[in-house]
Amino acid sequence: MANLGYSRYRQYYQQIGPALKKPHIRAYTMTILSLFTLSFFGAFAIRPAVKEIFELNRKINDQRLVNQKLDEKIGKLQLAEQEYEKIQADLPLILGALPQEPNFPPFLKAVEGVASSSAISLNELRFQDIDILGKTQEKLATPSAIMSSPRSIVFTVNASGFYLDLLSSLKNLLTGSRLVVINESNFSVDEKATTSATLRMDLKGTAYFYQNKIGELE
Amino acid sequence: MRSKDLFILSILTFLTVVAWIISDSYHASVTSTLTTVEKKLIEPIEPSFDQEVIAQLKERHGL
Repeated sequence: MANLGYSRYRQYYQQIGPALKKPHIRAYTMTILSLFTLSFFGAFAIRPAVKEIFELNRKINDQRLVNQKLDEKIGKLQLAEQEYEKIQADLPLILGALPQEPNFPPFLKAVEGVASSSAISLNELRFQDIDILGKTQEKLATPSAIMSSPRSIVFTVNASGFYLDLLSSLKNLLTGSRLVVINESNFSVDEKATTSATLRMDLKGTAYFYQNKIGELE
Repeated sequence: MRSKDLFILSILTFLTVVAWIISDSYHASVTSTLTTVEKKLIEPIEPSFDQEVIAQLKERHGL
């Protein structure tokens, strides 16, 4: 079998020698072999090396950029620290408007206080489920997600009283030290009331807070 | 296969490999190597506090 194969291809082997002596065939063969060799090494040796060089170059540039941006940020943080020192006196105001904890009991008292000071009767006060300790959301969300958005306490109020008193309570709620947003408010005639001037107010609002403490961030 | 065909094939192969190298190099040079954390870290911050908001807070009364 081996002899048969050898005899079959022997004539081709014998033709290679004389054929390569012809200048144009030798030139073609050398060029083709050179190009295939270049292609082979280009694909498996030169390409990964060149790619690595460009990747490293890009990495160096990126790290330089990070370094420069971080230097700028350090400068800005120092400025921010100075600015922070300046507003130390106003910090209770800010923390009052947007506390770092839900501060639910004081908020509840505040809403009741608004109702009593405006002489309106509070029929119903409902709060959506809130996590007073703030543990559930901490487990679910990433630290950056917690940082980026304030948490909310959604509440609904049903109160009745005279129009001006209701309006005054609404104003007091909006201008209070705690940041409150009124999402919805409806006024209607209170059918249960003895006087026709008594109105019923249905209110849906949101109070906000940031869970993270400044000490924890540091 | 004639020598001329092989020659054309070798040139095409060579050009393809050259194009592959150029494409890979370009891709490597334009693709950012920064991680998500690094991108977050270099986000600029505003080193000032909104005095207007603080003034508005001062106008609020305690509940």
